[in-house]
Amino acid sequence: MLGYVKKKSPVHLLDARAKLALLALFMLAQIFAPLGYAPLFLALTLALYALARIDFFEVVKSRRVLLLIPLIPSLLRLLFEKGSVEIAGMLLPAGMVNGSLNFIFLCSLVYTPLLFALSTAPSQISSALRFYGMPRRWAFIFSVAFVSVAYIRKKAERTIAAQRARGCRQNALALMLPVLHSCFRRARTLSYSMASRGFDADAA
Amino acid sequence: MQKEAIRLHDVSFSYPGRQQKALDRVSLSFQGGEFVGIIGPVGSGKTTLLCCCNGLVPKEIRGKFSGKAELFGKDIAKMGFPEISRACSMVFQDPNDQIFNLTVEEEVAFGLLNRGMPREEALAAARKAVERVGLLERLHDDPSDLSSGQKQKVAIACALAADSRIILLDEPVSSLDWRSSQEVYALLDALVREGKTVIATEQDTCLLSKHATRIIVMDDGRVKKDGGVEVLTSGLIEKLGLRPPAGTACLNTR
Repeated sequence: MLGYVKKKSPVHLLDARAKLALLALFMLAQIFAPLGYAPLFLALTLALYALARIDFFEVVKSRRVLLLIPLIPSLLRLLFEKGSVEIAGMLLPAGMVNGSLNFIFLCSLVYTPLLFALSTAPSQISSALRFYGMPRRWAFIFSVAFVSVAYIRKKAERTIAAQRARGCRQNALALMLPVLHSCFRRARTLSYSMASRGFDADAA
Repeated sequence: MQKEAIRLHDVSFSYPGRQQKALDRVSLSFQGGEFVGIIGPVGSGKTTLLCCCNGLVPKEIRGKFSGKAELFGKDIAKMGFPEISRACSMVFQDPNDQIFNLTVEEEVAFGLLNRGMPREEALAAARKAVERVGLLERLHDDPSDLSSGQKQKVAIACALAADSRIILLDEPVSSLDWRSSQEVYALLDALVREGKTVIATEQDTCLLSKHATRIIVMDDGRVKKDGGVEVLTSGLIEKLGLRPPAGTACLNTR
């Protein structure tokens, strides 16, 4: 879901520390700008995806669950916000206008950091986080978590196939339990493997 | 034979919440330059024994531990993992559970970088180890794109790069085809000739009969037999539900 996509685009080649700083500034600008600017920020996000040579719509399609983050609050706003707003001389329901803008705003807020994760190698993410003062242990946890996403995804695909072969469909529990079990097992063995290779999380 | 590499004295271990002992009063010693094959049914304590040899039991894998384990005469309980890893490397059974870097080179260099080795030096040593396992052309590839056999070779390359005097392997060829298994064991033979101690758990008695110089048979956490390769044809192997080597002609008579 967050796995690194290897490419040689200008976004990929940008130093991870600079990328992280720019991302933080971009997100702060989004948060503090009036909601009306949301389409502009989304357009910028789309431009960054194009620059990174990553298909935005493919990313959205393959990570559909992320759409729930902007969708749910926007729907609530659409349904429950009362009143009306005037746009170009037309009176429109406030819920519809603000719900739509809210959806665009949250989409941009979710998919911009995702681009950072997709275009930055986990080891570089770890170095960048450490550069900005994050303790080594936490920076390392982040980078391993990013790498493990690809493993979890593969495992989930295999589990879905195996459960379907047994005639099981749309059963979240039948999918979640084997994937979780496998993730915990991997995390445990990974920690043993790292310990046996002399990894010390608190070392400088 | 060289100096004693590992000594286990009356070691017992049971996992949390389990009555049955995974290891039950095991006393063993491994000499430098030995190729030891550990064999036994599933759940007989082979992997736990290996984990005792490099301190994972009880330092990381918690449970009820008694006895003493020594690495080159030093009490493992008093050693840190950075120190242990210089003397002893381990290859786990499933490489998918231990590989986490984005390139083969980074993965193999990981242990060396943990030792504080300069990056350029670590990458050069990693390259050498990867070349030795025959994967040089995949040096910059993502390990998750490799086949199971190639991943296992990467895990072995990690142990080679560490250049430690003891190499522990938990069923190292369980995911490899016959030819790759032969290659891995030929590599382990070469390491033994260089004076390293190789301790491998294995289900394939034929491979052990060809390459190991000492066989330890385990069952229910106890050492049932400890001797030369003739142990494999002693009848005990069949009694424990394991397959004996296809013929005695391939026995290692070193």
